[in-house]
Amino acid sequence: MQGISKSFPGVTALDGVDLTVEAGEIRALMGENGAGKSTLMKILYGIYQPDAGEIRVEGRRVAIDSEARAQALGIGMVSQEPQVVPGLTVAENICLGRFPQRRGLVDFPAMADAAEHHLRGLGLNASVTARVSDLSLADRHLVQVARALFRASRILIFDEPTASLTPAETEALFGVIRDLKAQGMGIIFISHHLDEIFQLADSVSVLKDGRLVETRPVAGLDRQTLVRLMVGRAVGMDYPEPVTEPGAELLRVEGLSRAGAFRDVSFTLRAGEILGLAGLVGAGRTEIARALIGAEPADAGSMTVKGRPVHMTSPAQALRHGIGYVPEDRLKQGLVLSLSVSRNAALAAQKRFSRAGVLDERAERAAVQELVDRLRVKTPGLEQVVKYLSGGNQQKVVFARWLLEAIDVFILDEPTRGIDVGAKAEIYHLMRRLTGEGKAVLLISSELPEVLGMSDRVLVMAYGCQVGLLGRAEATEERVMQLATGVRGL
Amino acid sequence: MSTVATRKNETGAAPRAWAYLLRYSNLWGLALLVLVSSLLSPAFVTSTNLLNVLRQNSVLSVVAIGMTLVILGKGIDLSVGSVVALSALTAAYTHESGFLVVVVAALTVGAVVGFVNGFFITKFNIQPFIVTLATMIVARGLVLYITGGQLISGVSSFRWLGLGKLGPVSYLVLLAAALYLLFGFILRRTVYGRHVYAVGGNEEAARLSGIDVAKNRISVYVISGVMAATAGVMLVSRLSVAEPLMGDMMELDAISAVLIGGTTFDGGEGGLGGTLMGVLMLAFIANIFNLMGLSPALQMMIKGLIILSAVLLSLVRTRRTGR
Repeated sequence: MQGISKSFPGVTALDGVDLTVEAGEIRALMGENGAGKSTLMKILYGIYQPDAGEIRVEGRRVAIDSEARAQALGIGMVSQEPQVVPGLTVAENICLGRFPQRRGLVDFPAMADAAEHHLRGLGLNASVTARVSDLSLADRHLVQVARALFRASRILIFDEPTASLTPAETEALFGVIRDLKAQGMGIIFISHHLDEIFQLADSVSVLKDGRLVETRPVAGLDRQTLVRLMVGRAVGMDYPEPVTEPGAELLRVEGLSRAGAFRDVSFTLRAGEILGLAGLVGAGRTEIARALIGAEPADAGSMTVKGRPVHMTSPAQALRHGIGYVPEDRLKQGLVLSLSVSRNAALAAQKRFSRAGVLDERAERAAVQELVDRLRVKTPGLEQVVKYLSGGNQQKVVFARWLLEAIDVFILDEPTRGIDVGAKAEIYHLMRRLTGEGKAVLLISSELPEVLGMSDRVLVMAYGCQVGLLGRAEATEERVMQLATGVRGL
Repeated sequence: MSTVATRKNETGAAPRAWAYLLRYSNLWGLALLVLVSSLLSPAFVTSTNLLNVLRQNSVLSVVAIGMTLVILGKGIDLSVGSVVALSALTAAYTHESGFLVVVVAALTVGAVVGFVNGFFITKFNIQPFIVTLATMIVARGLVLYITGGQLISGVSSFRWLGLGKLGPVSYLVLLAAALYLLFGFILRRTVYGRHVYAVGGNEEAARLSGIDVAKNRISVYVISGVMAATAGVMLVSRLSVAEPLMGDMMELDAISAVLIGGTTFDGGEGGLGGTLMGVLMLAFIANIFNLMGLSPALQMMIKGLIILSAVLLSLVRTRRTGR
């Protein structure tokens, strides 16, 4: 791949990226969230078309305009979550869309043979006639690998395949990948975990902000250098300075746990403070937030809100205690897309604008209008249906919902994901204004510079465990990444 | 930003007129239907005929109120037709104890069926289609079992409701109109109504905003059951008989009216005004076919096509005008 560029409305996802993979090579692809790894792979797999650049497979220039074309060229992809049809058998899943046929009917013996052939050596503990719904997650991954092998013979892309696997399952999958390498396939392996890179990869390409930072052989590379390559230097973004000394304790969490999600998390949050929650995707950050608001209650540990112990079991209860949550996916969890700006903003606060259940629409509109002005939401009017606003303005509407309520603790989950730089800066200033008013913020973000720039303290999570609680001075990008990726030392 | 603005300005008067036409397509459709009908048959635009049509369709229109709330909440209620029969039967068995007893007993039956629907849907997370299909069959079976398939006649103690008039307008029409005003107000102007839209439009966002989603979802099924039961009482008051197959297929007519009215199965979009127009459209079509002596089979085919074109039209509307 040479000089690949791709833009989406408002964002440059890739800017002149080169990537070369040899037969029999395992190439790791690293970078922070949003660095462009997935976009690059989607271009290679024909899901997106590049705006510029060219792709050559075995020296021949090709245009990959569909997934079918990618497969015909011998390119396969194993995605993060197994894409399988649970109700079909292993063999049917492997041959999906390419069922061997005889006289117009499915040739089941041929299909079983093909499936057996491609499963050989993958170590699946099930027969090809087993239903996939009876398989473990790891086995489903193997089915997906076999399906990719059934179609592709040259290049196989693994997109964070270990995110949901146990260490033993991961080790087994690595064995499979090494075998494929020995057979002369080129492997592209996306991962966030440094350990995996050093165990598996021959070379590593690091992306940052849509550009290729560097490609290096893994031999002779140490972890610190790799972390530095990934983090690089942030593009200049001004973060407003903290203005207040922390005040009274608003939230205290001790030994909070939820089976399968996170365990033994303890912290305090004081008025005027921003506590950052850092960690890789899947480290348990969102799960903590959902436990704090009672959407998926914690099953151990204690939570104290403004000095009173609380067992939080529903978002309605959290609201009564003055805790509001801005969810990570504003389209799926934050907004009712079919409703207007005004109705979305007032979603939680409607009791305040009503008497005996009947709304005082004038009071509601006035309050929403004031917030729309204050947050500078760009909208043709309060009655505009919210799905037609830009991402940043939609996010402001979700914010407005909690500003209408008596909220003291704001839990913000990826509050700036997918919004432009200007809107980001406005959100940052809003956060500082809130803390200036004596509110507290728990900031969950995958953008390290953002967490470090905004937070007074940073809590680092890895694999569901709290691995560090750093003060503003000691929280550097390297330090946080080392903790989050499980690198000790230094 | 500016390019968008210019492009919007370039779209001149003609597209705007289009948008206007599309936005109120239900109303125009209804007007066109009335116009064509009155040309086809001189008997159509007589007050006797129109009031009669309204009276005949008051029962369906009340069932459609509940259905609108359910579909706004991203659900469906197939049990309403059976609830009409169950309510009619309850009314027939209690009618000698006085009208108040009839109303309380029949509406309680409707509320119970609605609660059962809502309970299974929210508590066990079963799809509304399945739960209400089951209660539809059970309730109809119950009616047939109790009556032994026989019709109960002479249920005349509250005939005044079905036959009485205020001036030229039947009490049934007035009752339906009052319910439309009441629920129109509830949907537009109360916290509860807003929550119905929010839960239907995005359940997770509603939950995270502190709305009690389960309670809201159960409540729309209870309302739907109560509306169907009200319709059952209205039907008996008009006919003075309770018959085990009453309300058969009425759920489909109610769903049709709601869909023609522009409320979508995606939830959170639409309203009662549209449903009323949907009911009227179906009613006028049936009426004009009767007046012209055309076959009911033809009428069914036209009904189906109207549902399809109404939904297509609302899709076009969303795409062209963005609302």
